[in-house]
Amino acid sequence: MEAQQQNKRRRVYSMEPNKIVQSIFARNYLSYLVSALMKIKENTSSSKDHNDICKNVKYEVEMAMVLSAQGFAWSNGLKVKLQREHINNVATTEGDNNKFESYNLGMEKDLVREDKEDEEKMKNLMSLIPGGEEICDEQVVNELESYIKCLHMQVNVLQCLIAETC
Amino acid sequence: MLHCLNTSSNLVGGGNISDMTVLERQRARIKFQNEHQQFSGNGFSSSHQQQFMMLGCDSALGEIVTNSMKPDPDYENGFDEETVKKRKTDNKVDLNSKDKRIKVCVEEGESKIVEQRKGQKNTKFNNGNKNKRENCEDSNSKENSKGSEIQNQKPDYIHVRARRGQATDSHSLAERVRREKISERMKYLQDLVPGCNKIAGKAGMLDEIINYVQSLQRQVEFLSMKLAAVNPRLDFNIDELFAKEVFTQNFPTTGIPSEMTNPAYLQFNSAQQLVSCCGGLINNMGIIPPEIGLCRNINAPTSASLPEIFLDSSIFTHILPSSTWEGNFQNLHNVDFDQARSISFPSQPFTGMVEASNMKMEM
Repeated sequence: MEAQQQNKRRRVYSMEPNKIVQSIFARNYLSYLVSALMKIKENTSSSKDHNDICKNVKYEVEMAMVLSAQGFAWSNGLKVKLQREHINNVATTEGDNNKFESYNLGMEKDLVREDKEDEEKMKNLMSLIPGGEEICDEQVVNELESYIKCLHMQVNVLQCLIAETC
Repeated sequence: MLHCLNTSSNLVGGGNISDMTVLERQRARIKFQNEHQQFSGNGFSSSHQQQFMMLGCDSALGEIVTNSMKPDPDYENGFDEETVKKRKTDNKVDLNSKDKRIKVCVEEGESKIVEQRKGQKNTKFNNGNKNKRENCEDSNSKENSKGSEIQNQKPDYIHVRARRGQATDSHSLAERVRREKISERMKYLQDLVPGCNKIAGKAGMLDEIINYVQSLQRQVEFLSMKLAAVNPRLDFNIDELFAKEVFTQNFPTTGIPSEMTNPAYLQFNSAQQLVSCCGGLINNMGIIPPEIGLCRNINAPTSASLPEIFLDSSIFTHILPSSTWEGNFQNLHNVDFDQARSISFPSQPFTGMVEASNMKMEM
């Protein structure tokens, strides 16, 4: 799906993300997530900290996202980020805060000139997408589309899951 | 002719030498055009050759300039001192890129360029100058982007015009083309992000998209925390569900799972319905329909057993998944869930579902 183009700068390309993956995203996501949640539940003893559980759940939630939508640049970026964070046991909330901070900084830096504004905003947008800074310009929009869709579906699935178990 | 050039140079205040030269050139062309209709091409070419050679340009360019200047009505009026600034001035030339472009210009034929120029107030050639004059940049930038786009259709060359005040090396030009292509495709994103249809500007849309992505991410975070809180309660419900681990094994694209009475299948069905709704969502992108059709086929035989399972299962009696999901889906997908569920009946045409969901999503 993605054209491989010559580019002097090293860019991250999606290796033919499977469109079919999108259609069964919800299915895969649910399967991965629920099985992971089961494992968490089994592993967590009663004495475990709620924060730890939160972290684990968050990790699994995002990992399920990665596994359900492979082939996109952002899913690889997310995987890398998750692995890094899982090793360091850093809460993902910090990562999100950093994103927000960088976005705010970006807003302050906005120059008057229209082009630079757009550039800044694109950069902010890319920083929101995991692994986004390295995505090739041409594929930004495709990545954005798939990411937004998958986020959307993820939210739906999570809500369904919670509604069921409550 | 020389005196014309001199007078025109007086009008230009500031700017580097190359600016004045180009302005002089342009003015000379126009004045001569007005006065001497015959000076369309040849008369200029020789004089321009001298100037162009200073800048390393091809004489054909001058020819093209003159012809394009002709039909432009605004240009005649634009010889005041104020409007001088509004004129884009060619100057610093990147020899390599310019030669490339010039060749293309010549080959293209002048009529094409004339048409383009008609639409533009300022004829802009070559590279923008590095002086940071900001007059009329916005209007010009749009027109010039159009110009570059039109000329990009030339198969062999990437024909780009740098905007005023932009860097002139080929890297930046290529980047600019790329960015313009991106902005074109941004409109696809408008469909995805709710509420983006009314926003016209690229900056506003980007803001909306950023906000939307952030809100979705925050939502995911919040839901995952909620899920973590709920997690202990998963004991009763899911243990049985996943004892057989049907989840990971099921959903063959061809076969129908035999465990139709399996309570896990409830989750299946929910996921399938999710999928079918998502399939409607995704079909906007032109996902391969057979895949979704297969999903539908899987759905079809199990729909009959669905209500039975719901009634029998003690786990899910407190939930009517259909209604829950109806609410969810209508809130989030803007898809009519009834329509989506109707795909589980074989009589319902698949395209009808997709169309309905598409229609709903456009709303």
